[in-house]
Amino acid sequence: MELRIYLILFALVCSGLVQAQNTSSPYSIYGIGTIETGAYNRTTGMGSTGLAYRSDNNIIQNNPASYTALIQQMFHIEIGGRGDFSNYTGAYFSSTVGSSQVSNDFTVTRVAFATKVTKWWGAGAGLMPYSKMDYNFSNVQPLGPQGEFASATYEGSGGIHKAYWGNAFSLGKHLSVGVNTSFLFGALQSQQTIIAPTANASLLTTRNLYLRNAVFDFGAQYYTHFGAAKQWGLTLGATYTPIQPLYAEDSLTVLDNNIPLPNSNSLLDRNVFKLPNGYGGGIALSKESLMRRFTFLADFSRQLWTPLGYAGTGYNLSNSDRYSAGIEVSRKRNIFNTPVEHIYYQLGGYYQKTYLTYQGYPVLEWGASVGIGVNPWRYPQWGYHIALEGGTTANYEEGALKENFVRLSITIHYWDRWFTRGRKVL
Amino acid sequence: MRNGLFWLGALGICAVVSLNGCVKANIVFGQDQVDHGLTNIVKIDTVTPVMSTLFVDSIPTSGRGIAMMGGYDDAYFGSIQPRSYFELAPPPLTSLDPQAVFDSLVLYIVPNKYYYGDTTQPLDIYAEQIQSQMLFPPSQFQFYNNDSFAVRPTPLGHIRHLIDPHNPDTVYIHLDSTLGQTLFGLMRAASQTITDPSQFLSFFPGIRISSGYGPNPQIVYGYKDSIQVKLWYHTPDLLRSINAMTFKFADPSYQFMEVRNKPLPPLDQFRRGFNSVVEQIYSTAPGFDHQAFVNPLLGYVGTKVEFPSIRDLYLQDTTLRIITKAQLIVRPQVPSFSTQFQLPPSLIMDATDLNNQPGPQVSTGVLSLDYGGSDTQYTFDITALLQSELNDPSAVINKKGVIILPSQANYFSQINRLVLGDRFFQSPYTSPNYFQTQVVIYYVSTKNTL
Repeated sequence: MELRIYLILFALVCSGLVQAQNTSSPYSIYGIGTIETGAYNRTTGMGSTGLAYRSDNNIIQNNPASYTALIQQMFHIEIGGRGDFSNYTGAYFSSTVGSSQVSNDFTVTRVAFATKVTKWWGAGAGLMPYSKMDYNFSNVQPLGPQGEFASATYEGSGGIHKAYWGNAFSLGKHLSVGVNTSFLFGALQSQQTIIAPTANASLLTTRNLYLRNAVFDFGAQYYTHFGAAKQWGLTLGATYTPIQPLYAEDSLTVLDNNIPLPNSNSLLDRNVFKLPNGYGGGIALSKESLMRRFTFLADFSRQLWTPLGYAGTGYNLSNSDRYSAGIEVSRKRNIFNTPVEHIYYQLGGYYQKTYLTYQGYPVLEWGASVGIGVNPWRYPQWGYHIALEGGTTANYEEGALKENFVRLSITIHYWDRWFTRGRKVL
Repeated sequence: MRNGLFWLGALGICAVVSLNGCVKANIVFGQDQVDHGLTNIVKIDTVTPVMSTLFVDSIPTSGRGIAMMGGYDDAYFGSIQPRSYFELAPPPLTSLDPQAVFDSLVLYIVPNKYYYGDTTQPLDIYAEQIQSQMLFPPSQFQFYNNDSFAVRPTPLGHIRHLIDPHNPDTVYIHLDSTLGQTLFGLMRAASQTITDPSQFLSFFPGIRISSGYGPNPQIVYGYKDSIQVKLWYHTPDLLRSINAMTFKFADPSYQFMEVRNKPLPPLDQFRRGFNSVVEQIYSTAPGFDHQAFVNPLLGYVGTKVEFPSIRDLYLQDTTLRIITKAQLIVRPQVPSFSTQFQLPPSLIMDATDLNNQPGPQVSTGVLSLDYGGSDTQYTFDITALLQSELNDPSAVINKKGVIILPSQANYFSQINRLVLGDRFFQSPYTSPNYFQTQVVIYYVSTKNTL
C-alpha cells in the first residue's frame, strides 16, 4: 500500500514538473533566469522566512541544519505547487495596447523527502527549481539606419533544477549543522524569431544553454529554550554558500526559412558560469504553551554577484539582498492524549533586491503573504498548507515594466513510519 | 481507512496538477529590453558598384526583322538616323493581256506601333534604289548597324506623313513610274531579268527607306520588315480589270538596318572601327561625370556593374553569415526619359567577367515609372550573385560582374536610351543624390562566439 502511494505520488509529481510554464517572467531573459527565492514549503506563508525555523513535522530545506528537528523514525514526503497570476503594467501598455496584460500558470515546484535517521542525524532529499527562464516578448528590430524594421519575438523557457541531498547533524543539545549537496542541472532555451519580408528573411535563432554541476551550501542552527517552564524558544540560523562553478554548454543554431545557415549553422561554446558567495542569517523567537505556539521569524540573505562581473546589453548582475519576516500561530489538538499540531496561521512579507540591475536600476521584488496549514485530525498523516502571496516586481526606472503577481502555493505533506523496528513512536 | 487516506491525498495532488488553464502573456517591449547581439538582420547600402559603359563598334542587324525610319538629335548620344535596306524578289511570271496598261508602282510600309520621339511631327519618308547588289563583306555573313550601301541620287519616291503611333495606317509611297514601266515591260516580255532572281537583283538591288538628308524629324518609327512593292495595271476592256504584281521582301538575311550616329562627348571617346572588341570606359573616366550609357543599336551594348568591395563586407562585419536579399537599383537620369523618349520597358542582367562578354542571365530588372518624380528605377535581384562573389576571392581579379542591357525582345527592336548615374553621380537638375545607383543588401549576422 505504501509503495503504491509513493509510486503514484512520484508519477504525479513528475508529470507536474514537466508542465509547460506559461507565466511570462520578463526579467528572466537576463542572466540564468529568475532565481527562485520562494521555499514552497511551510515557510511560504511567512515570506519564505525560515533560516532559523525548525519543524518536527515539516521539511524545511531553507537551512539544511533543520533536518535534525524532525521526529525520529518518521518519513516525510512533501509536494509543493504554485499558481501564478500576473498582471503587467508599464509605459508601453498605457500608450498602446491598453492598461495591462495578464498571464496565469500552475506548476508543481517541489518534491521533497526527509527523515531523521538517528537521534543525531537528519537527512532530506528533494527536487525544486533553482531558477527559471520564461518570457515571451514581441518588438521590432531595426534593420539599419533607414528606419526599416522587422518584427521580432523572443521566447525563453526552461530553468535550472536543483536536486539536493541534505544532511544535518546535532552537535550537542543546542547546535545543529547541515550541508546540502545539490546537483544543479537544466537547460535554458532562448528563441528569437525575426521576420523581415523586405529582407526575404525569416530567422529562427535557438540558443540552448545547458548548465550542470554539484554545489554545496552549508547551514547551522543554534536553538535553546528559556523563561518560565522554558516556554520561550530562540533559534538562530545561518547559511553559507561558497563561490562555485556551474558548467555551461552553450549552443546557437540559426535557421533562415527553415534552412540552416550555410556558413555557420551551429556555434558551440563551453563556459563556466560562477555561482556567487552567499550568506544569510535568521532568527526565530517562539512562545509555546501546551496547546498553542506563537513564532516570530526574520531572515536576511545576500548573494555576492557583483564581484563576478556579469553584464550584458543594458543590464548587469549585482549583489542581491533579501529581507523577510513572518509570524505564525499554531494550535494543537489532543490525539490520544498527545498534543498534536492541528492548524496554524501565518503572515509574512519580504523585500528583495534581485541580482539583476536593468538600465542602471536594480530590479526589486516585494510582497506579503498569508498562509494556513491544516493537519486533519482524522487523517493525521496528511497535512495541507496553503499560502497566498501578493507582490510586485519592478525597478524604479520611469515607465519600466512592472509585474504585479498573486501567487498561490499549495504544499501537501504526508508522513509515515520508517525504520521503526517494531517500535511505535506515535 | 487506508484506501480513504490514499484517495484523499491523490485527489489533492490531482487537483493541483490539473489546474492548468494557463495563459501566457506576450509582452511587447521597447528596443532596450532585449539584447540584439545573437542574430540580426542588417541592411546596408554602402557597397559601391563600379559602373562602366561597354561599346562594340558594330552590331549585327540583318536577319532580325527590324526596320526603322526617322531620326532625332539625342542630347546624350548625338544625331541618330536609322535607315533600312531591303532586297525584293520579283513576282512569279505572269501572262499579261496584250492590252494591259501600267498604272503605278507603290511601296507599302506597315508601321509596327513602335515610336521614339515627338509623334506630333510629320515624317519625310524616302524610298531610294540601292545602287548595286548588297553583298556580305569577305568572311562575313551579316550586315551591321554601321554598314551602308550607296543609292541612286534620285529617290524612287517620297511622302511627308503624320503617323498615328497607336493606330497607324499603312504608308503608301508612289515610286518612280519609269521604273514601274520598265518592270511592267520586262514582265510582259517574260524577260530573264524577271525569271532569274540573280539577274533581277542586278537590275534592281533593293530599296533603302530613310528620312532623307534634311534636319532630323525628331521621331523614329518602327515598321514591319514585310514591305512590298505593288505594280498596278489594268486592261482597257469593258470591265477594266485592275491587277497588281507584288515584289515582296524575300531574303531576311539581306535585310538590315543602318543606324547613323554622330556621337557627342563623352561617347566620342569610344574608338570606332575595332570589330569584335568590347571597349569599356568607366563612369569615373574624364568627361563621363559618373554616368554610364546603354543603347545597343548604337553599339553601347550595356552597362557593366562590378562589386569589387563586396568582400570587404567580411572585413567590416565578421559576423556576416548569409545575404538574404540584395538588390541593385539603377535610376535613369532625368531628363533622359519622358513620355516621348521612353525607357527600355525591361532590362536584364547577364553575368560577365574580364572579357566583358555576356554570360548567363542573372536577373530581370523590374521597372517602376514615376514621370516627373524621382522614383523611376529598375530593381534587380542580385542576391545569388553577391553571395557567390562574397565567397569567391577571384571575383575581383577576374572583374566579375554583370551587364545591364535591354531584354532580348527589345535589344534590337528599340532604340530607347538608358542613361544611368553611378553611386556618386550628382544630378544638376534635381536633388543631387536622386539618380544614383544603389546596392541594398540585407544579411544575417550571428555572433562568432557565445
